[in-house]
Amino acid sequence: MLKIDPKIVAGIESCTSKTDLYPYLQNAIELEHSTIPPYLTAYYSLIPGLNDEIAGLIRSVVIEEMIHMTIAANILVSLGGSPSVNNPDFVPDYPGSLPMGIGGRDFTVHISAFSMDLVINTFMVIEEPEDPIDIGVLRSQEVTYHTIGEFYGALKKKISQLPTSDFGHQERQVLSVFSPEVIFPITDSTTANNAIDIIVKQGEGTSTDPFESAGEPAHFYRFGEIYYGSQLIEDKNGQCKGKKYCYGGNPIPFVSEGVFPMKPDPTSEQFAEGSYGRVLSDNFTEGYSSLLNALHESFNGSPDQIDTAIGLMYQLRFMAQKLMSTPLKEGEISTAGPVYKYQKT
Amino acid sequence: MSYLGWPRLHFKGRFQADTSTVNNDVRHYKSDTFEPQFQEMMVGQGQGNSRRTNGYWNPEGTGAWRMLGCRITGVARQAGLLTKEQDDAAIGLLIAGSNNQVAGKLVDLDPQQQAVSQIWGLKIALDDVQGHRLFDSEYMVSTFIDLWKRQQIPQNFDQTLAAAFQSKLGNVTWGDLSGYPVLKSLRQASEDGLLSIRFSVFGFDRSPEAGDYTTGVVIGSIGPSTQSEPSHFVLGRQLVAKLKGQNPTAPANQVYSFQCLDHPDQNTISVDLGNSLPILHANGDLQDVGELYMAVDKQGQLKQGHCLDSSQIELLGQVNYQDQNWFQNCAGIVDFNYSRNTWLESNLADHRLVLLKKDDCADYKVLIAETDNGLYVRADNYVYRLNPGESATVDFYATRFGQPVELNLAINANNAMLGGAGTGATLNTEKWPVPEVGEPASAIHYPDSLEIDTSGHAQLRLTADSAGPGRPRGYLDGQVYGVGYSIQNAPADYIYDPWNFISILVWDAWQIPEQPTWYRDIQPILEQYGNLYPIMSRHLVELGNYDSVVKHLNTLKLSFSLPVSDPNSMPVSRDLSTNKRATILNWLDNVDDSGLPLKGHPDDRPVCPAPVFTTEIKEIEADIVMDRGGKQDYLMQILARINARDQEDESC
Repeated sequence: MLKIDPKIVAGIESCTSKTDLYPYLQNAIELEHSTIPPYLTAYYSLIPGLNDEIAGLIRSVVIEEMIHMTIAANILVSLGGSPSVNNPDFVPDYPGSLPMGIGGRDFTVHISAFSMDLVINTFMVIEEPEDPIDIGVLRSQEVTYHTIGEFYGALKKKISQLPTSDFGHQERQVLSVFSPEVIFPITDSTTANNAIDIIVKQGEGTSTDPFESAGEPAHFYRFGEIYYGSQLIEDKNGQCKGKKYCYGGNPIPFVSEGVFPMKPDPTSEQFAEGSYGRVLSDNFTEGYSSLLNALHESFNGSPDQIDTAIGLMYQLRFMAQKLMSTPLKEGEISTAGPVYKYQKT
Repeated sequence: MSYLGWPRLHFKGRFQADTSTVNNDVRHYKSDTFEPQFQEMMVGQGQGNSRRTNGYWNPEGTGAWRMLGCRITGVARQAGLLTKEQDDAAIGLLIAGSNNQVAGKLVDLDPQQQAVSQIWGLKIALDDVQGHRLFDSEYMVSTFIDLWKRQQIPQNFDQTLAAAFQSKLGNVTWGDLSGYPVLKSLRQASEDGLLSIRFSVFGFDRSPEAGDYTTGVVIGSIGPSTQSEPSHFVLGRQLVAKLKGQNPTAPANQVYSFQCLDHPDQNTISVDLGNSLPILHANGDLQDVGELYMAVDKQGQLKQGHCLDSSQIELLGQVNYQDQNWFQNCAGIVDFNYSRNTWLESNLADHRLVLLKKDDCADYKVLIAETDNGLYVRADNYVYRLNPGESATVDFYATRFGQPVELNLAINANNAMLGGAGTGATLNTEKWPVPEVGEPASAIHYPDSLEIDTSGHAQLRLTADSAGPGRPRGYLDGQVYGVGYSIQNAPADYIYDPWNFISILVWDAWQIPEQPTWYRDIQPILEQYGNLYPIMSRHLVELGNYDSVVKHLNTLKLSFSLPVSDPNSMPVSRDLSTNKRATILNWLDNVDDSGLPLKGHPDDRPVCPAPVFTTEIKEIEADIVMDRGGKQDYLMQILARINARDQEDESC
């Protein structure tokens, strides 16, 4: 069950000023970021040209997680806070649990290549809505998880109590790159809560509609499409066998050979010091650290740095796929993978 | 001033040059005959093996250039060199690169001029081991120089050629320097926001199976700088190596060209041998070339390779290059103090410097000497990219024994170091013609002489003709030109540095269409990049494919609109004219009702013209055959051309 530590929600409820909310908004940034490395790895691990549809779905989720991270950061900035992104504690230990004890201590997130097991047992657990809609999958599916929606619900409640004078610093918010429909200036409690609604809706959908927008299912259901191998559709002429929605649309094929055989949970020591593999591995970790530095600068007074961060994201993809096509040892099938940790220099 | 001033930080580490190599062969620019195998790794890298060149040694290269694990190994002050961590806190500090943007890029000017590679978009910083930033800076674009065959024993597919980069670091911002007096004095010695840097690169490994693949050794120095001094060489004393025949990479006497800076107020001369002494292996072990001495030529008559007795020279001192860790500790720079020698005090300023080897032939043999009469002239920046109608100003500096001098230069076309296919791959010459370079000469204008007055400084104006070269190379844009310069009335046997010439890429004229379409205007450009940079098509976007391209509109818009100085700027190769770049942006912005850029019709696609000037077709071969020879890369081909020309000259 994906449970959030009750202390966190209680903590938000006891906040009396905007500064009291800073640590929780920082938590939100960390939470939104924490899913990016496992999702990105799964996305990178799909060999270009073989599983492009699945890759496209995961990529679209990753981009929205970045949007969510940006929203949380912009709200914190608007309230006069300073997001902290470039420090070792910002990055969860993989394998490990998610920030704020989300999912409980037993829920361990790994850095793994794409697999159906990863989708159902990790990604769909992370994205489980508060109130999942009963989707026809033409076989039984029991859902018992809880959600992080409560966390955002508590935040919204507190934010709505803040006066407009608490908000500002528009020039320090990251407003370019993403569409203005999802990233807009946070100027008061209404805009802040509208932005939080986007996070929740893109992640979970609503309690009655699994689509966050036309043709675009929320994250949980997007992963469901991958797992069940078909697009999510609304029932029109009974093809969902009595359910309002089902995974019964166009097939989403999975080619099992189309995944790099990356060994799970890579570490810096996957290659000996002084080897070419180590150069590749260190390049990735440095690139990822640079990305966090660029994001940190973007959220702390240099919003234009976001363009640089985007450049780094593309570079990371090249680096990750180079690692994933490099065998750990000569003659071995399993390959190396990206190491997500922050190193200052 | 410059890095040869004080204080000076020496550093050593490795570098990675993850250059893409499909574009090392000009024939791969021809899209209509592009073969998938041109994107595959070469087969049979070793010397003397039969090989299939394919996409050469790193077809999936990203272009990234970065320093790896570089540390400060020595601190040179006026009072001497410190090399132990306990002697100066700066020793052991880390030279970091870009930690908030992508790595710098190594960029060739053109497939037909690959001997002027440049580093773009590099950041250089200094960090302590805890990661506190002591300074941050931007490396100003620079081109390597003094390319020579330095490594004597090749291994794997080592690049046995070595070279040096020299530039300024701009926008230097300093951190908290408490505890680092040497950094404080470096800041004080420099003009605001500037530093000077030079580093040698060698031992670069191009064997995919090797542990140090795509990496090599870098050893260099950082010192103070001023705005007014040249950026890419030291306004000092220049020793230029005599060559073996015409081969620019082979010094006649084992040691390659180098520069020195005299500090008369301190009676000290700084000698930079960082890129001049031969190494045995890729790791930088220096070859034993005998006992070496720096000295001053008393009569000004000494010739390179000749023997002499002690009476003809005044010794500055021995070069202890065989001491343990000498190279890494001082980066090859030796400061000779001549305070105790009155002859040197009064004569060093106008007598030639020489590097000698103790030798049985007499007392010494001259390995290399300062230019005749100490005369030297150099274009500071020597690589230009010009749009039709555009001009560039080249800064020239003339010195005599390091002091400004008045002289006249002859300027002339010199394409000897340009051209060729780029790799030794054997391809059918009808299907894959190799364009000629430097033609038509009318596309680039410059005066045939340049007067340099007593200030020792003058500017040469290069102007690309507004009509452009007229697509003389057919399947690739523009034309490359070499422009040489020589001193009028120079001493008879004056030795020029073979790398002192200017390389220019002049782009073709191109009208920006109001409504660019994919088939007519965009695909011909992007498909070529897709072919040449498989890393893009395999991992991100198939540049030759409309559907793939339109999925990445925002990213492409961002990359193509970044300034070329940005490491993320597309294309990485910086070889797109302003108008073609504008055409792409125009196309990306100009969408139809469905929000997509205009596609047009496949029939609109222009036919790739044949080159107007091509190198002579000697034989018609099978399409692609196994290469017969061993290592034949860009320079080997250039050398072959030079040798062939020499033989022709002789037969006349």
